[in-house]
Amino acid sequence: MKHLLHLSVLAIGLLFTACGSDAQQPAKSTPSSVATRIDVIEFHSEHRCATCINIEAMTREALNTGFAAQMKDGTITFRLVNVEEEANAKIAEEFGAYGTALFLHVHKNGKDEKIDLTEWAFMKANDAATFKAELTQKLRATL
Amino acid sequence: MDWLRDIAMARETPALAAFALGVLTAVSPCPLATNISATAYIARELKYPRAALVSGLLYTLGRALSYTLLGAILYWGASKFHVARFFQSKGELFLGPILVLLGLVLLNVIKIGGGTGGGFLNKLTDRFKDRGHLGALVLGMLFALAFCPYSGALFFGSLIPMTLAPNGGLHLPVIFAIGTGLPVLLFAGVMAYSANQLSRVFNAVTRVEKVMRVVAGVVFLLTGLYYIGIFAGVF
Repeated sequence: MKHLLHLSVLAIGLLFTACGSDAQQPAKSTPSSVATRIDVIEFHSEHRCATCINIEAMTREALNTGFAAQMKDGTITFRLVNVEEEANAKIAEEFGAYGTALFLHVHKNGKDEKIDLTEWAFMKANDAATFKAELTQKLRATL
Repeated sequence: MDWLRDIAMARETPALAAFALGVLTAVSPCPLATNISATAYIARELKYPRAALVSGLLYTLGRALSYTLLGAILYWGASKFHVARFFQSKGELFLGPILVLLGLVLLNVIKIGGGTGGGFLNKLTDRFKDRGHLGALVLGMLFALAFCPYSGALFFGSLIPMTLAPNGGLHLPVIFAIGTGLPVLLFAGVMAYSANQLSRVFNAVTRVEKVMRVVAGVVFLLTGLYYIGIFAGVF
């Protein structure tokens, strides 16, 4: 009797699992209508340090030289966000950006992914060539 | 310095990474200004170079206290976003005027507390001017909390995630503090020792010590003005 009870619970469980996966199937197989887009976002506070300004300049340069076409057709965008402005409070909290921060906001196959490059950016900020080369590499890998 | 950055980014050795992050913080532009002030303050005790060493250690301990306290608050679940935003946006605002004030106290231009002796504030400022130990501890605690965008990114963006990680722990902010205080400890020790030797040669310990206090006061004043300048958008 006990075994029978266990078996029924298992069977019902399997039934629900099967139903669940069936229900999720359409969402998985639906091809995304939104094309891949990367929003490069640099957050900053009101008072910006030299390194922070440098990170912006190098990022812009890497985008303009390596991804001019994508910048033009909107596949890649660059946005500067002041976290201390009231209007940006929501996006700053969403990204957890309290000061200078560099993010790749990737929109791919209908999904959003936030890639935090802040630590990397600060560590490489003193070497413009490496910064631009590695950022280009990261963007190419993400596209 | 690239090797130091590589160590700072190595997550498999958190203790070493925390130390490297501390050293990187110590020599980054904004904390460097506070560290120079602290060095000038500590090195002025050249009559007893050992006292400079103790002050340097207490300065590092002060930094460790602040960093560990912040680490603990975040460890216990405070929002990193809100804590970091508060400290990062207000650092220069508080630090500038405080440094100018301390500079003027060291230069004997103003006497906090007013009147002649007796007052608690008077006693406190006298202690700050004449005996460096307590002053160094308080300076360490204060300077650690003055985050600039760069040092804020290293602390909140790199050290705190490491501290909160499964292989992290609250010992990491302490190691980080040692890294931030080490340059001060070394330079203050060397300066106090060499100034002591030099002034002994010329038999002018007291005179040189007076000069060192003026130097410390001027450095505080300039650093304070530098911070006010940052906040006002001059730099």
